[in-house]
Amino acid sequence: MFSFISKRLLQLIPIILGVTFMTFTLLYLAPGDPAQSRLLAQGTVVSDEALESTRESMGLNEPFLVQYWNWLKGLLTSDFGTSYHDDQPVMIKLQRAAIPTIQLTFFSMLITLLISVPLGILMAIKQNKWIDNFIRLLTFIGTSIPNFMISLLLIYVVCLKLKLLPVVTSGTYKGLILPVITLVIMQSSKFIRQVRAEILEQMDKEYVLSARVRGVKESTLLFKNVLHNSMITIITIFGLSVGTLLAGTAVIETIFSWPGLGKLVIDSISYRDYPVIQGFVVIMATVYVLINLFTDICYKILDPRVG
Amino acid sequence: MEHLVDVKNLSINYGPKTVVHDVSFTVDEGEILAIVGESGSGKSTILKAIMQMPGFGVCASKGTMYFEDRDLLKMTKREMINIRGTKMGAIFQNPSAALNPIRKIGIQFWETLNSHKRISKKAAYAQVLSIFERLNLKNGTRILNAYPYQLSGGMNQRVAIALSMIMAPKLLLADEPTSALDVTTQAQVVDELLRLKNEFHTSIILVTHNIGVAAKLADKTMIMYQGKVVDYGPSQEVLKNPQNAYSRMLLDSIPQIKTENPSAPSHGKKLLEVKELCKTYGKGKHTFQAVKYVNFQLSEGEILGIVGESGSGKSTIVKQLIRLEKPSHGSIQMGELELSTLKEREFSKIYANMQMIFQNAVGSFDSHMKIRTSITEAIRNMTQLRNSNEINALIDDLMVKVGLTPEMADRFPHELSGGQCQRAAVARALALKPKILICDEATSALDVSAQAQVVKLLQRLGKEMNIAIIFICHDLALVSEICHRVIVMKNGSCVEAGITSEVISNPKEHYTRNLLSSILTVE
Amino acid sequence: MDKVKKRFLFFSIVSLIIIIFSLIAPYLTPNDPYETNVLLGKLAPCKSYPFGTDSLGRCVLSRVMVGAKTSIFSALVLVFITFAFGTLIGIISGYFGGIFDSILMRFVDILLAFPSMVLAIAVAGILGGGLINAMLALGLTAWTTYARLARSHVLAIKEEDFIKAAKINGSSKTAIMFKHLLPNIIGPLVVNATVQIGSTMMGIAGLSFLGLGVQVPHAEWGSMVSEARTCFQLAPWTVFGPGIAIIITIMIFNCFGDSVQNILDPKHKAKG
Repeated sequence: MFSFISKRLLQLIPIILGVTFMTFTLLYLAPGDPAQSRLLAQGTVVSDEALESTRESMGLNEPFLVQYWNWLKGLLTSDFGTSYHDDQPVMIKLQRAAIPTIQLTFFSMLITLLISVPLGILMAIKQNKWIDNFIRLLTFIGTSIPNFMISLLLIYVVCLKLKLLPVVTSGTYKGLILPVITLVIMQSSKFIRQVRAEILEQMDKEYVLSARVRGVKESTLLFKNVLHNSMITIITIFGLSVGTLLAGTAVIETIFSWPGLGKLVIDSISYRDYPVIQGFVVIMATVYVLINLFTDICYKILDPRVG
Repeated sequence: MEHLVDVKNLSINYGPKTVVHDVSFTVDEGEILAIVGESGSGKSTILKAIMQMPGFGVCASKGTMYFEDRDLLKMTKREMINIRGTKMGAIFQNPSAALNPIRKIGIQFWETLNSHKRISKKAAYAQVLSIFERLNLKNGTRILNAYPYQLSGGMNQRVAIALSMIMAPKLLLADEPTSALDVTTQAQVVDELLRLKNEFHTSIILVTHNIGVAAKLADKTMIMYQGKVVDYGPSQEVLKNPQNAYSRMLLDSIPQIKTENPSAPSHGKKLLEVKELCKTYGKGKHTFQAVKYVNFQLSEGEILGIVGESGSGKSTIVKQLIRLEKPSHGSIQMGELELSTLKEREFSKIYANMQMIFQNAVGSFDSHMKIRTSITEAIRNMTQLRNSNEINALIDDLMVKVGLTPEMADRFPHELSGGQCQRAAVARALALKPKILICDEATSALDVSAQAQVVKLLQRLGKEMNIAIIFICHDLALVSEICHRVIVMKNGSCVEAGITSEVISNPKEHYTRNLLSSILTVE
Repeated sequence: MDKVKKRFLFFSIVSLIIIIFSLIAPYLTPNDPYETNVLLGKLAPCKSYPFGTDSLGRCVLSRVMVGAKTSIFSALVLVFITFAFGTLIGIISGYFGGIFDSILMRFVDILLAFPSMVLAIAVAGILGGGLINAMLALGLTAWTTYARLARSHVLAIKEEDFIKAAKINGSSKTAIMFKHLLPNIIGPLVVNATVQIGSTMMGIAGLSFLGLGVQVPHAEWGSMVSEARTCFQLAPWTVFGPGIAIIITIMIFNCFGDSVQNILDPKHKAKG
């Protein structure tokens, strides 16, 4: 197991390097002069001298690869540069914004799991019965509504019509309720269908048939065999879905003014605050890759065949 | 109770279609009944009907099916669940199908026992080990701690048999239990089934297309054809003295070991010389040598057999000849040409001289194209013929030559039977007028009667058109019938080679003798 | 005709009607979608403004109708381009294997290391707003799905006997790729493409909503919702007009995708 994990970690190095290289290249190729952006973001008057000295201090006159190397060296010491907008270290800004996002994603993931797995199992057992069809209809509707519309509809019903919650509840736990519900609706609509499909797929396998022929109890079959085997795929899908979740937070945090990473990056985009965008992308990609590594490890634990 | 199983006038539907008509048979305690027949004869359907599993999609539409004096067709779902597992066991063709692939075997035995009667793991294991012992399964504890994927196919099938015997059922339903196995493994499983009968006094209904297996095991045999019983009685009588024309044809089609073979055409020109051919896969620690230093030659008009079990490297040899794989080492000489070092681009010219037909006949045609389109493609690629009328005339001609009608060329591959498709594949190969035809298990997937016809076709064409044939096959009996010379392969090496009649009548190697003795004959 | 085919026929016709409608809708608008009139701002739905007016007094219905073309066609075009490009790359990569394949797959791995919308937001943010930039941002990762799918199917199929048969019958590599491999793998790829229409529409609308897609005053459903959000409390119809239009359209295309999947992928059908 140890060698498996260390091998996977080693494999991550080129991927993370590629991620940083791509992120850096994207911003390098971005239209506009970073020095000018920085001056504009700070609200300084843009003069030729100011531009030149800023360029010099930002190391923009160095060749591309040197710039990349300098930036990468910074990343290794968790120095993501300083924000153009307010000269704060990017790392601090990201750290501050990370906590609300982690709260948001943690609760959404937890509730999604708690809802989706039992419902998926229930639907698979009651395949094509009314309960199955009904939940399927709901999940279909859930997957067809863009996340911003889910949020706005929730605000409309809960805050404006029923007046159960205030519209602006920034930062408090009350403020978590609607964003979490939005993400749960978004995620579980997809996830319930996938759980159901996977369990049905397992139930079609020959080993289930021959266990039934041997008279193995249905409960043993379902909970110890089908569910165990389905978990492998379910965990993988769940790991991958974290990607959509992380991205979804950008829209939801903006709508609900939740001070997380997503809101930070959208705000930074409007200021053209490139170092923050860079840092955000690198962090998100790294987290995503690590989550996938974690699902791989779960996979390995559950499936003895994986070498 | 007169009989353990008493089936009378049973008809079975698959959806709206009746696939089994008016079948009656009985099985007594400790008796083995074999139901034999070719694909589509309805033999497996009967087993499915007896098991009454929801999800099989079969239902008995007429007749009675008594098991221990109770009609299975009148039982409730609950009663049926109780009977399955305790009184009735089943094993299937796919040896890895019986077990959940990612849980330990011991746990799955315990789960089965525990479902019928509360039992501790320890007690369950003790019970399982005693059954293993009676079935002569060695290393019982190791098996219990293993995952199914860690065992070989044959071992898996034997474990599956033990698993279905755990509740000591009176009746075992076995659906093609040996068909996915090599001959030597097949022999072990057959022995195990015999032991069930002798040790446990279990009755078995065995469904198989392999008449040799039926002859070895069964007390009674039932031959089916298109959903009807054509012959039924004690195996001795049915197999020795068949009453029905179809049964006779079926029995005649089974390849028999022959020690006298057609003699090779005298001193044909040498076509191919293979020296020290090797194939290695992988690198470093994970290298695997699939073929090790194989030498042979092939002359005009001769049929060369290459036999061996799965993984013996027999297919890899021919794949290298025809550059579906690149040889790792050694030389392949065709006349003046050295094929092993030829560039890919230049190799395409060789295909006019050397053609191949495959095991999966239907799969060797693109399912989106009509047979005629596929053959036309080959002709346009490889010959000078461009006029479509001439091409179509050639195809019609070839179709007749292989025993099909020209009209069949205008069908899609899945609209033909396996045997017909294989003939069409032969027609496609012949369109290029090759000197060498490679047949890679070309008849193994076919029913015996279709196999016999395709083999005859190959023999006739070989003689008429002076084509040399390399015949890859796992069935030594079939090889002994048609091949002039034979190469016996094991684990990538050639263990014995020579004139077929000499190898068969006087095998020098232990492995060849083992192969020969594993063949189950009707006699 | 069985139920599956009927469903497919029904939803293809409905999807087609929507597409055609989006093309002719700009000529049928009851009012000028770009004409502002602050005096008529935030009017509730009435006879002359069936969906009401927005804060600048523009007719919401007219804007929804004009925006249909942008919202629907940008998604269709993007799906088609990524489908064609990804499939081509996937087939070539899977069939030839070797170094090209390894490099490509590493590149795809890196692209997939970014959560797709995160990369899209960053790219759109860097490139600046605009429909084309938003499509580029989404397309950057979208093609990889097709490439991976096509590649894995090619890897499975290229070992089949009919491909070997084609080779020993002298077919060139190009012929094998386009005459034999492509027709045999296209089914699941088409299914994937149709299933993606809805989510692509969602992606473009999402970027526009964030102000990273279509720019004001050009009408597009996502950006209309975004614009209307400020006066959501006073004039909810300004949000509901484009919002409901987008939900219904995505639903119809999702139904269409499902029905295509049921027809082309019988295994999936069994599961419902």
